[in-house]
Amino acid sequence: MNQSIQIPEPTSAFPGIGVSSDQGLLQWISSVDHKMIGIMYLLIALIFFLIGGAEALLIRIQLAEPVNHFLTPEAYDQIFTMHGTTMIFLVAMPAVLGFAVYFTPLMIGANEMAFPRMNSFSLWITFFGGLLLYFSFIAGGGPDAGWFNYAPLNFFRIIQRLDRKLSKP
Amino acid sequence: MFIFISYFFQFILLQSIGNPASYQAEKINKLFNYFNIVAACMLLLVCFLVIFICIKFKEKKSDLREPKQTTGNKKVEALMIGIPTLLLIWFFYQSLITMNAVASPVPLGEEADIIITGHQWWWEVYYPKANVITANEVHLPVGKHLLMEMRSADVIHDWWVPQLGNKMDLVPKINNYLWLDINKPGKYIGACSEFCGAQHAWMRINVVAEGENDFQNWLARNSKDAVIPKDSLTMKGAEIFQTQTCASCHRIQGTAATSNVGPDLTHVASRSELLTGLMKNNEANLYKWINHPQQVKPGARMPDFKYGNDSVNAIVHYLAQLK
Repeated sequence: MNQSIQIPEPTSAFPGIGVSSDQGLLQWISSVDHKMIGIMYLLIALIFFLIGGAEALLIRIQLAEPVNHFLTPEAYDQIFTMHGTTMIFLVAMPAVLGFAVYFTPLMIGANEMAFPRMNSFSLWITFFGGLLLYFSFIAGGGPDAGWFNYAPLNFFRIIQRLDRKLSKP
Repeated sequence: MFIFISYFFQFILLQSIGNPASYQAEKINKLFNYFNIVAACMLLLVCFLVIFICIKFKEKKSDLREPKQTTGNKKVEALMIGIPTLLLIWFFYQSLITMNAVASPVPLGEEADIIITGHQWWWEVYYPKANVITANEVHLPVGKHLLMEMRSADVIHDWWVPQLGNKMDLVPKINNYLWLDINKPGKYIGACSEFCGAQHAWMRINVVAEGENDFQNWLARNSKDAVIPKDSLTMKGAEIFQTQTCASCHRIQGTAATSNVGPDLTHVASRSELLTGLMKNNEANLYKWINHPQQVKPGARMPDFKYGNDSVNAIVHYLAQLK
């Protein structure tokens, strides 16, 4: 058990932060380095935080005065649902993960996360998951049953949407 | 201070917990004020201590020696654990008493006085003892120990009239119960408090609490069948109502229309508001609504039937005389 652990220094073949390489953006996209992944998690959190914040502003403009017609009921429901979902699943969680992924290996004295490629996979699936959720605004309306998505309201919404789609001439 | 603020706001706000009008609301309000007063005292104490300590133990120019070093103080520590513990025990006890007074268990086999059914987006009101069905405007007697049964026809709704006490969820396939002892006659406004879809914002509650005599008169008036149309325009409206789909969703007592998909319309003209508080109840608003329902209340279950102006006019006249 007294074997000394070899911690490889970052090289251009296995770059980390502070290692200059000619890869540019590709260095970040293809990275499995826990510090770079941690920073990217925080960046994703920041991007979605701005989006979620913009949604909060829209909600507040709508609620600034009674009987305001700034947003339609449907749009308002979508925006407050997506605000909640964004702030929890696309801001708070990635931010916590970002700090965890960055600091845990440093705190326990490991040179990397246990499964660096899975770590990277988790990051990108979070990012594309968020994009897919926001794609729904273009594809006929975002989720609008509240971020808790209580049954049976969530289910009712699906039925109503289908009805509307099918009954359109 | 908080009580003062809440009393100040009740003149501005439609809904307020500041002016309780039922036994349940009084109990809840009392507990709420206890919490507010104690919390305000604690806030003032903490603010005072922070400022006091900052000034008292400020570094003095003349005295640059290291201050006296102390480690812990058992008496102060015991106080800091003891006082919050006592406060918590007292609040827990008060909360239990309030809960027991407000939401005491419903005895088995007890029959509800009023059955409220939440629909997207209106309230069905049924008085089983008098066999009266109405909608949206909830008339309740003052001074009675009422048992309200809460049901839902579709999604989860939530009954909340702040001046009349606690909330109660209306959950599909589950009956919830609410005790209500109103002690002041008046009109009370509430709202659905569980997000229930596109028109959740316009699912307001309109409670009319009146004395026993007024209530019984109202009940007697509403147990009667609808007025039979007399002139030709209202007769035409009645015919359109029965033959052109209105009757498949609405109910008018004394006619073939018995459905409860939409609100009961037996005495619709006697209510003060349309569409759970969206508009005043008058012929112009009724016309607007029947002509283009989806423009007035987008997402509502009532589709745009594309009746001609004459037909809408006839229906409006028919409904406006259903007093």
